Amino acid sequence: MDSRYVQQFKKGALEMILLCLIGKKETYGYEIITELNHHGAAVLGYAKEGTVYPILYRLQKAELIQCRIAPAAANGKKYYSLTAKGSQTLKELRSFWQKYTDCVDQFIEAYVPEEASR
Amino acid sequence: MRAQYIKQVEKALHLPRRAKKEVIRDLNEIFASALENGESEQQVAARLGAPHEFAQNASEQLGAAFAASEKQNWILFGAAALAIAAFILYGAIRANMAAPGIIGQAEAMTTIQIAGGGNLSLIFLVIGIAAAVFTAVGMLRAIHKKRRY
Repeated sequence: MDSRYVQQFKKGALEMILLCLIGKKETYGYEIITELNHHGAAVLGYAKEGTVYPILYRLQKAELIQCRIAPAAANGKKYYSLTAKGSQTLKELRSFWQKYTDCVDQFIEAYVPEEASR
Repeated sequence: MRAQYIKQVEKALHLPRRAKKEVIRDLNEIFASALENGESEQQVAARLGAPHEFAQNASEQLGAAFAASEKQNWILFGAAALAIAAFILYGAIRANMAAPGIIGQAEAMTTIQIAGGGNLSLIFLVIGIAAAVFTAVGMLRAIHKKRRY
């Protein structure tokens, strides 16, 4: 089940998922990938750096996330966190997502195949 | 494997130096993190996909913003330089004009020169003001845009 439609869904949600992961705690690339694969691989498919990093760049460019590079003595990794704008955007996205799924569910629940209704 | 992969990405990245450096830094971290967690360089390279594809995806996200702001900066810089040059020329022509005027006793030749110089200096003044206004508006817009984000 990897049709164009399914991919569209995944693509749209991934940005919000990344904002959630980064908002939960300051985190770095590999941890994000591991976290995604741990909780989402079954549905979202395996996360790859080639997919995640471009989104991180986009979110950073939009100033929704910011990063700092840990000292080399620690681990030298780039840690991402939400900006104030990012938190605000995530809040709005979450509330929209709730309304969106409720709305879509309503159509799905009201749908009865023609065969069955006869 | 790792060095080769990163080199290939670097070659395919069409980005300003600063953005390029950031992508290369991130790639090094990607490899390092994966190795720490027991993956092999081959595994990482396979997961990352073709170097030119990784480069293209990164460039698409980073490139547009960099390219646009960089181009805008150059246009503003050009306009500012034009304004300064026009004002200098205006000043120089006016200074040249004043000299024969002070000496006085206008001959026919000098009057023509003054008239010509006057027109020319006016043109430079207009160009200078136009370029200065363009620069100022552009800078204000850039500042405003930055603040909005």
